[in-house]
Amino acid sequence: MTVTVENPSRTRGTDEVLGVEGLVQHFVSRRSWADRLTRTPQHVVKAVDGVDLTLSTGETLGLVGESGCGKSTLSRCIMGLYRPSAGEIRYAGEAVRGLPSRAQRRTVQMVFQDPYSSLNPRMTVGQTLGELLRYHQIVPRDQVAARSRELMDLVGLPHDALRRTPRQFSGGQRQRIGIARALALQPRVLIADEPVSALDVSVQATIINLLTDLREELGLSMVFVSHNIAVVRQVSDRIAVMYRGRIVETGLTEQIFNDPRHPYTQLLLESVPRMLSGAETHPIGAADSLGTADQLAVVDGEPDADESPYSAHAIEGEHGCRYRPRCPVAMPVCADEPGLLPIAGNPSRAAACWHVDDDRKDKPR
Amino acid sequence: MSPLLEVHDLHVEIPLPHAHLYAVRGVSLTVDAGESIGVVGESGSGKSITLRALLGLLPRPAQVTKGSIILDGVDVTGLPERRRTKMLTDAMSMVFQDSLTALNPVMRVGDQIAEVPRRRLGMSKRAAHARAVELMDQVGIPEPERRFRAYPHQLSGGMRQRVCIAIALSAEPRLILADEPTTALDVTIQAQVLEVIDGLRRDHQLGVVLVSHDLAVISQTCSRIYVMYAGRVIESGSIRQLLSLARHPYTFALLRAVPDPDLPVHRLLTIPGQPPDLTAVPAGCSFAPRCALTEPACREVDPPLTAVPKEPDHASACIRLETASQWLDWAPVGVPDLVKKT
Amino acid sequence: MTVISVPGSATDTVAPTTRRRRKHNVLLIVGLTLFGLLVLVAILAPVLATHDPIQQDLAHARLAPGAPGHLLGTDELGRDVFSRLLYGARVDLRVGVLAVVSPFIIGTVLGLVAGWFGGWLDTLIMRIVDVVIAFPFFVLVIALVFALGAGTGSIYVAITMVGWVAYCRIVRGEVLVAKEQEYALAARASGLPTWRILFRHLLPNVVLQAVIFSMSDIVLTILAIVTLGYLGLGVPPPTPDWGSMIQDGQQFLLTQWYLATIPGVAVVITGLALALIADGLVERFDSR
Repeated sequence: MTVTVENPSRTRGTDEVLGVEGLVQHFVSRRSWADRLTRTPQHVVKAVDGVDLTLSTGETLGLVGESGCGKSTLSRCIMGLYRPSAGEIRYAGEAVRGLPSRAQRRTVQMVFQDPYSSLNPRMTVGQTLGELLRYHQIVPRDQVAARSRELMDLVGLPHDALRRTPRQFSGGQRQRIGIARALALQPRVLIADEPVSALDVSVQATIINLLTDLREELGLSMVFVSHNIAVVRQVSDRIAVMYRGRIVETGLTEQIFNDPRHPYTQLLLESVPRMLSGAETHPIGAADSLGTADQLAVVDGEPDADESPYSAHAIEGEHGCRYRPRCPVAMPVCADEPGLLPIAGNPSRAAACWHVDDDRKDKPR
Repeated sequence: MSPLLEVHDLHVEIPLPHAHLYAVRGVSLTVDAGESIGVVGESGSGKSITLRALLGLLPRPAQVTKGSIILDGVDVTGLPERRRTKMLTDAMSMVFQDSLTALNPVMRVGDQIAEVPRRRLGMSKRAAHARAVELMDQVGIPEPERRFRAYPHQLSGGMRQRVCIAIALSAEPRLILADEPTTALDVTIQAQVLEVIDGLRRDHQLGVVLVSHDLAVISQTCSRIYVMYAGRVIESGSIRQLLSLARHPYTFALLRAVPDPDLPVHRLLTIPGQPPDLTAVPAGCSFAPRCALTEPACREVDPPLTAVPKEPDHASACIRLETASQWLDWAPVGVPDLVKKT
Repeated sequence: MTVISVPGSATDTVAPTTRRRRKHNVLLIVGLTLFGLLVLVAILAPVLATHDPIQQDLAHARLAPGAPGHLLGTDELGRDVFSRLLYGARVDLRVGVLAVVSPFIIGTVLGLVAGWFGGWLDTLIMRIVDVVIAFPFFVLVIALVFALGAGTGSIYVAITMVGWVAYCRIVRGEVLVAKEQEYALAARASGLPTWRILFRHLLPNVVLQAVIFSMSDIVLTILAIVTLGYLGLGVPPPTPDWGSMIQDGQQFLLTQWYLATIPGVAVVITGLALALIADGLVERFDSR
């Protein structure tokens, strides 16, 4: 694949290409006049509740968390699909006011989760791409067709795919088309929202490899949102763990996996189902540190089992550390919610836990 | 002693307006009491259809066209339909993937659990209530008396799936069939629910058939694994055997295509192509079009499941199963580097 | 099944899973043929008609079908039924189709706007819809035609003012679903202007239900004209239309049953043709 894309070659990890500061996205339930008359309080769901993030050029940030933790809302906020309730989003150092402008849209693009609903069923692939190339004037009009073919090459689809409608493709191929659509605008940042979770396991690897290749080839930065921890580890340089609307731990991928500090991160990593713990017969690689992996992590009390359908979100009127109700090491001070606290000796890491500097081995489990 | 459940050469066909879809093409399984087996495969591999066929829950117009189901040594296939259904439903219960639609939304969960004890086992109202609370306690629902009165939408996904398991248990089955029971759940909750199922197997000597697309989930809880592809079992064995040396190229590649949380690799192995169209299954091995090791013979005969020499209970439907130790040299797509990413 | 091969790609050579479809859409073909014939007959009425449709001949009134020179007989004023039927097709098809076009357009656009923008705009539009729906259809149409004066022009206006609400509700409901689909999000994410997302991306995906409804709406409109004719508010006599033919013929049901039945059959055939087209469109375009 020798497709040139106008992206200046950059080195990894220096300049900020995407910044998020104090981002808040609350959803307020609609009140009818009857609610107002009876003074029924509004139901506020704090989907994203104060998030800071920076993404450097060429970096891939993995965003993990359980369903409803706000990771999808966060990625859609960054994409400019919602008007944030508070906070700032910067594209390449330039603040986004309200919703991104037409020019700003070109900086950040998104790959969606569901390959079946993310493509317009009434438009051919060529129409979808051509529309974007023309509207954003990416290439002169007479080169739209040629550029569309280049995009097909980039994602490994044949040129005649341009004449077809989405329903003629398999899930994996549709996801390639979705990637081509995102790349049509030559973005610097790609936000991938669960890009493989709707695909069959044998197809997932092709899309993961494609995204990895494109990142290298085009110098893209990426926010990779997924609930699948193994996939996130495979693609990410850095990881942010979200819990109920906040980031509770960040760090380089290896650091998080080798030494998770937040109790939630610890639970999350222990809960991941693993093939086998015994190192002796593991042909794919030794799994030495996993003597206990056969024993599944079992912690009682998932987020408020009853009462609220928004169980994984933060609800108005809650105080203290949001993980406290499930936390095995909660203590009185946890009634105050900690911010992201730096971890001593590890400038790239932080965790929102008062236990952040405890040595993990001493901790009661 | 005969096993709890034996399935022999099960075939399921789905007549479509313009074609016949051969969803299951000769599946054989055995489950012992107190044993859990896993069936793993991609969507369309026939794993869920197999499970449903066992309980007579096939969606119309699918039908079993061949094969026998042997329960405790009794072949129920030839019995009159009524009697067969009764024997099967008495012995087995099913847990579904989506707990929200599996439960009646306008009925209290406790009443749903108490329904079978009351109506089918003929308990008094009070005894059925007590039994339901006991079952809820067994599946690890805290404060069962209070949650007895909850409606399904008031419970979280994990709690609802526990309720579904309690309902499955209420019929006092000897075998639980679970169809992707944790796929809709978060990973932390998944661990809890798997633990519940495994605890029941240990404590009550239940047989468990767990169907999932996720090999890791299966390998957590099952002692034996059946790998399905295009409506057939293409490899079976213990997780240890499959991991140490998979004897079918599909299993072999699948194990390297799925990222391992403990071992990121430089590059995942990819399996080109897609599973075959089951309305027109090609001659020969159904994996041959995607297989890097295909030889002319593969396209002629569909190899039967054959025992692997010197490995008890390990079988593969590949004519090259003896050469598996050389597959590590499998180029050109490349085996992933065994080196951690830096 | 077509096989797409990927040159130069090591990853994916794939046979796409296309849903099997019938090569020929029988429903659509039959429906369109039938409706086409009706339109053709209407256009060629002056050529095909054997008599002047409004010329009376009391000497030959109420002749049975098959009478010499009168293929389908004559009515109580001696007018040729066959000729009136052909000319009636002109009036009814034109009024039926035209009276559906403007409510369709107005309702679809308002439904798109209400569903997409939501908020006060949605509230406003839907309250108006509620008000219109609260009145019985015919009461409102009759009141409007009465106010505007009888005639086809008034019928268009009245039916438009009442008929758009159905399209508005259908399209709004579809938009509420479609705007959460990821392709709509993707269109927003790529910065396309709102009007373009609405008319290029959403409209083709939501309009099908409205088109299907319009097929039955045409028949309903023809029936509405029949009803209006009964009240003296329809197409003014002596212009032939199927409604007034049924109306005139019904007093002779016991003796000359065919006078009301023949135009009735014409209405049924029109309805059948449109229903077939609607079903054919579903089969052809429904992606769900």
